[in-house]
Amino acid sequence: MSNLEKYNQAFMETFGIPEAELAGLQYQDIAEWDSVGHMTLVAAIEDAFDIMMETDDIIDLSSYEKGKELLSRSYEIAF
Amino acid sequence: MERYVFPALGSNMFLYCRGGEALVIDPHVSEEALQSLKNQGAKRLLVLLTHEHYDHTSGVTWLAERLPSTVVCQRSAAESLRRGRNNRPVILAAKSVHHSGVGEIKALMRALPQGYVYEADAVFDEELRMTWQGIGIRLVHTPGHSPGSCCVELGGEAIATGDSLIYGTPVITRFPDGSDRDFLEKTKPYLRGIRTGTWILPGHGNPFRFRPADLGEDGEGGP
Repeated sequence: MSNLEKYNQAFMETFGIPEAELAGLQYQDIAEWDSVGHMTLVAAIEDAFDIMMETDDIIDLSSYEKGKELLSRSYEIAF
Repeated sequence: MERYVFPALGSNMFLYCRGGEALVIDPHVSEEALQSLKNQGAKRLLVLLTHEHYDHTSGVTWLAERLPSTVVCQRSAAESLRRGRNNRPVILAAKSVHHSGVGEIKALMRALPQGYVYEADAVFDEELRMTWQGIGIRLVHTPGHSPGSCCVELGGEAIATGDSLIYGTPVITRFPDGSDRDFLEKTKPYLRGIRTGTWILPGHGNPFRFRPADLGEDGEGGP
């Protein structure tokens, strides 16, 4: 499974949405992505890539695209 | 019983001193609470954790470094305490996405305990009974909000419910490892058995006297 597939799967399984709805998705765009959903998403991403995100990055993970940017920049995960 | 509220997250720490010892429930870092313990001559602490979430455990290491502590919690909570990854202020970070004062929150988080690891002194699976300073204490496993949640019965007069019962707030079972099924099948029946008028010391918000209506009709809600 590619990094992009793992990343997408974390979002899809956490929020129960199809891949087509990921692009442009932002925090609180959907009811499932609230603060509790955010914790679940972080856990799913950390499990998928075997990383531990900095708390600053957890705050900055404000959209689907921003998450990819953070993972590439701070955790050397290429998409 | 003294109550100290974690400023960043609103969770309650309860503290009760008696005979040179103190009972502490869900500690966070609080110089004010530490000073109170010292003023009352507490030499040893019995620390009880209602569950494993950061806002209810973040002071456990800090406190144990300052006063001899015996820490007791449910087995799943103890397992979580052994993993530094679980003991970060992720909940505060998650509540702060899109927050206008994000710079201040990041600075605050850097000052909070992060990634601590603690080995509980005593664990239990379903129930633990003990006597502390003549007070009968019973800890009862109440999963749902988290796998390691429990309620702490204090002398038949009060129950510290953690996040398994909070006045006016539905119990959240959506956290990672939370379980709606566990809450409904195991914890809700326990909560239904609480005697009317019992003091509830919740994980968040003011203590209140229990009424059956506080459980709501859907199994998750309060009034």
